[in-house]
Amino acid sequence: MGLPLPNGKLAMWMFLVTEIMFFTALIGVYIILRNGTPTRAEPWPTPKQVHLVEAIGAGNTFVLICSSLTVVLAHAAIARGNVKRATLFVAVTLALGAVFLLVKAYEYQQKFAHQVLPGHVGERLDGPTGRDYLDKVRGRLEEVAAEDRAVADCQKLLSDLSLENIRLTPREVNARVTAILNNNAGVALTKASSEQLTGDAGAQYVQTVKGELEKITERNPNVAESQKLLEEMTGKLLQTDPGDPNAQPAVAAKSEYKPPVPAKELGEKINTLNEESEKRGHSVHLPPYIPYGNLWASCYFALTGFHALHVLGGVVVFALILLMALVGWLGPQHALMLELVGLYWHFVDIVWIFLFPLLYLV
Amino acid sequence: MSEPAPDTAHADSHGDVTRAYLVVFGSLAVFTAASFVIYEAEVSWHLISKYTAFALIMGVAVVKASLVGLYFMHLKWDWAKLYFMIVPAFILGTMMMFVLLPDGVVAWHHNEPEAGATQPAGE
Repeated sequence: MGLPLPNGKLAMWMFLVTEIMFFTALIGVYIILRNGTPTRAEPWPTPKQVHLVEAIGAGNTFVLICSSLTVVLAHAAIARGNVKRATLFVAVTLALGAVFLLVKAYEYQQKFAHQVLPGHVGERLDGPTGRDYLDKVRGRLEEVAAEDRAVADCQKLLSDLSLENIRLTPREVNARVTAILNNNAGVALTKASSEQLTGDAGAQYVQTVKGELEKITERNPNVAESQKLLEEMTGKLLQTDPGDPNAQPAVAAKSEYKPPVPAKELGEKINTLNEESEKRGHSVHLPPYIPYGNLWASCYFALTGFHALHVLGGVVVFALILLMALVGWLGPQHALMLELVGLYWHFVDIVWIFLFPLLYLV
Repeated sequence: MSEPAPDTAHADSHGDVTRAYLVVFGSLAVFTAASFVIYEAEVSWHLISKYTAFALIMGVAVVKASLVGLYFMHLKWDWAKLYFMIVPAFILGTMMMFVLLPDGVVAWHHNEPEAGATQPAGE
């Protein structure tokens, strides 16, 4: 007696039911984490922030839908005894599955390239993990700035000259220019003569130096922007006047405190530097600042990773069936086998039908 | 795999079945494009709210999954023989959503503080 159902079909459906529970658990956790955590101030990352392209996901969905069609046509063909046609459809299904995996690999490579990985993304800049993240950013910026010391030193002075509420005296500017010229060769900066250190001549001299610095820093924008960001990240006591012990009466050295830029702005500046350096063709590769980016990355890689592993399993089975066909072992007696493999493949398709909107569209 | 011949009662006229598959495929392609257009309508053209877009997109996903299940997975013909396994899985899945609902609902942000303040731990 028993069910009017082949054993294989019963077994496959039983397996698929367990797979339904598996993916329900993963998707359920994603829904809870996503709905439960972000705030209006720091919402869940948008696709643009995490380098996710919706059109690629839609294309992949279409690829999988096509492969679902070809596998069901393969089964229909083999049930009618048309093994050649079934082999062709199996080959097309295999190819489409491989295309899906290749596109996934490309998408993963994009995430790796932009360091959108669990544990690598900067989030709470003003918390304890923020300190580690900013240290990593600072380290990377210093590496980039070291590529062209002359431009970096010039940018340092230019940043200090560009401060809104702190003014360097012409004497201090001259001292800094002298230091840059001593440490670097081939830098087109003018030292001041003694008449240029006071009054209108002094102000004119500072403007001239500013123009020269802007010209020098233009030759290496990555280094200049990195040094600029380093200056903005750091709070420091800035000497505004070196003083003059020989003057009558003696002039004391003066300093003012330059505060660092607030954490919220800093994140935006880090992302902007990444984008602009990438547009110039040579990315600075700073770890990105994406609120809830680590959580996003964990969810994305867990969901799509497990799905991709399931697709890979299906692709392996299709390759074996194709081998069988190529050595002449495939026949109409294998119609049930093809149906069962098709059931598994359709399930994988259904999971992606839900994953695509949940990860890419909403 | 020396199983008895598969149940092809539904494939008496195999041309009909193939035609059904192609119609379902066409519908799936159209629905995939539709969900992408709904997304663009929300994000780029600002024609609908994100809640409307969510409801429509997930609705489309359910319809697509149903089409794949009914036709490609032959449930239209085999449902009577398989529902005893599939229905409990969906009941359990729904139950799991209900069980997890407090963790989602409690954290809804209707009266959330301004940026920078700490989040309340829950109601």
